[in-house]
Amino acid sequence: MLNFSESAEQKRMIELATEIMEEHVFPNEKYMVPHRGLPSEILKPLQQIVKEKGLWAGHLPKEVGGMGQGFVSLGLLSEVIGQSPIGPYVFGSMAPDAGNGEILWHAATEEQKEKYLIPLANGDVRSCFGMTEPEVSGSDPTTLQGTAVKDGDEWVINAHKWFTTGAVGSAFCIAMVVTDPDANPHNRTSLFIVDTNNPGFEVVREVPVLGDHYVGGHCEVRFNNCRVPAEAMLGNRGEGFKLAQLRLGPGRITHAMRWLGVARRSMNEMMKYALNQKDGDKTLADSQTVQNFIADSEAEIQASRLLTLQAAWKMDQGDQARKEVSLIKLYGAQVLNNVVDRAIQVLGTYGLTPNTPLEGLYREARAARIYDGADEVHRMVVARQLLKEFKAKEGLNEQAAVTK
Amino acid sequence: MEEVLVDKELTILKKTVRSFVRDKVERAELLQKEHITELSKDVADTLKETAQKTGLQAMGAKKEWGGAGLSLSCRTVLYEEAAQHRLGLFHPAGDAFGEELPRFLENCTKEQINTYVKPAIQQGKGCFVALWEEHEDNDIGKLTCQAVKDGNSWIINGHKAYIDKFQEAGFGVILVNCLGESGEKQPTLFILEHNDSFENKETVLIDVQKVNSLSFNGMKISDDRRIGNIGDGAELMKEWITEAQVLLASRCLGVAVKALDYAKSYAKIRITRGQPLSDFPSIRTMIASGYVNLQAARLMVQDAAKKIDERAKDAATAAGMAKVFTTDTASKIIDDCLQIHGGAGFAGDLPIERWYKELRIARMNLQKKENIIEHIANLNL
Repeated sequence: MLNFSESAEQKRMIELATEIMEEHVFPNEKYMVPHRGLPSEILKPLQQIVKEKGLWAGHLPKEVGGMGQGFVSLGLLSEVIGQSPIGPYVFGSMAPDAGNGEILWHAATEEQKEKYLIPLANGDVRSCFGMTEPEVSGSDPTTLQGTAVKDGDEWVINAHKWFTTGAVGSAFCIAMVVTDPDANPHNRTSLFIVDTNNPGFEVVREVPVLGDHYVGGHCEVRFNNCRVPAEAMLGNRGEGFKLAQLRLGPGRITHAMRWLGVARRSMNEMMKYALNQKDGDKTLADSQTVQNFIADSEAEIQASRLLTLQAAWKMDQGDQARKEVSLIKLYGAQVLNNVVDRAIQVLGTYGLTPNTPLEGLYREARAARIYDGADEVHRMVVARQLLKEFKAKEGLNEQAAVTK
Repeated sequence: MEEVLVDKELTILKKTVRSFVRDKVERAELLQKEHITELSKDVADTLKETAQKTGLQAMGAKKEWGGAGLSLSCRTVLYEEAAQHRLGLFHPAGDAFGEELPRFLENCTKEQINTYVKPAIQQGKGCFVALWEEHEDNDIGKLTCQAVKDGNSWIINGHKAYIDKFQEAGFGVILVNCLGESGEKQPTLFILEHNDSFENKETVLIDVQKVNSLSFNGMKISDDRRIGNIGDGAELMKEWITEAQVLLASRCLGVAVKALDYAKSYAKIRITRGQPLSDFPSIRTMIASGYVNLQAARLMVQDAAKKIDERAKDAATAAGMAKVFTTDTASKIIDDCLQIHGGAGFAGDLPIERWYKELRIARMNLQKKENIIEHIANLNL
């Protein structure tokens, strides 16, 4: 049986979140600072409102102050709060903190949870994730070069990273480095929690980038003979790749649903403008070309939305849904870029001015086709998985069944 | 009479522009260590002086005004070269060759030419064009800024937006609807000076391009600032749009050439899953398709330029087609180039992210695709 309706509880959550967005989030967007987000004197009281209404940290379990409602609910909430670049910060589920919180929940020791997860989950501190390196392809994390070498009771980390998002102002960084160079490629790396006030941790610079919605910049960082105690290892030795993957699955659901929020916002901007803009006796909205933009955008948004919610539903059933997650990453990022581009096209040069949110959304959107796996990588994952399923299920001479 | 160059002369000139851009302009960009968004005034002035010594100045302006008087066909070839650096799309050769001047200035009186045009050319400055309005940047017939006669002057009311290179220009030209006796709109051009009594506001488009908007609240302007006849303004502006579309397209070609260079070099050295990116069919297709479309775009630009030089009847249509196809092509090439570079393409260390923003402007500039397509539909249906 198929059922596409939200539960009573999900409906209540969506209504409440929408109310907070309209009353508290959209009106405060004007205080946003590029690469820094909202000043904390504005952000903190808004976060308090979200906490009081019980919508804080949708990605985390109740034990650490989150909502613990599963992936479908998390997806539905992400769609609402994703409409504003500051939404995820106000609701305590922004990248990279959300993913870091998830890893810590799954892999941290009790002491690590107490020291890092609790303040992170509470929104008292921010964090960053040091994986991507400028020297090697981000699409292939088995090629990472940064190392940690055991020295007595300590590990000594030497690494050069970039796109360590949010490093400026972070309390700690989760670093992915090679501890076992001779192991097979997927077991060579481990994760370490590094306090950013460690003298061996250096923020080299904030890399200038196309988009400016992420707080704390996209930084180049160095670990210079950075010494951490043995207890700083997160999870088991050699599990870096596995844990990083664990971070990415749920992250792609929140990203994809958040992108739909951005697409919906852009669509609204496009329709509002088209209806208000007079063209003789008519409005821009009477133009078939503009109507085509609207209809095509809606088709893509709906398709991406159902794809994403289905992947979330599968994950709620305990399935990793790898193929589905790759599909939504690939398709959702493209839909996002298409819809924002069409909205700007309707507004004309006005859509490129800072008078509407569109130009900022357009710049930020381009990254979605790169981070957490470029389009090309996800196409490969999807195709390989389908070919594997086909070979396993069907004799080559039989007619192929539609896979579910 | 425009200078018609034989192929050999043009080849030499092209090489001169190429080495100027590589040796002087790109070098100047690289020497500014931080994330570069514009050239410092000193550097820009030095470039301008050097360009003047080599005779690369005011390429399109008439010889009797002090320009080189080159045909548009020649200029498109040279601007494709001049645009091949980080700031090149909207600041070809670091603006060292001076600005292109609108052809409608040929309708200026002798006095206007001596007061405004010649000094601007001597200083390597251009002429800003106050044409579009905040919510109308496509259809000249729908503009609302107007002027009423007051003795020997006109009183202007309204606003203009998205004016590029406002500060850098020597003077400006505005299109307003002069109201006739029975209230009919007669689009007309007037010369503006920087210290005229309009309000001026600067804004930044998509975090990369400074533009100005001007508000006119009963500003009085003398009739001797008028260019051409009353009512001729729309036609004169359309001529400018046609020529400017081809010049924009030729610069897009240059940036796309450069983007493909970046894409090729990076694809060959970046290893993923055990092989260089340049071995993956997805990447090979992006780069090869880029070359295919770029060549088609180049032929369209040359065709349009030739038609404008010959004052052919279908010159405006050819220019519109070239503009749409070339901006779309360059956008796709730069989008693919960014994708090939991954995070490095999103970062401002390389010029790709700048071009990504600028191409979004270029697609909108000088009429967007939907309007040009509608014009072509009208002609053919």
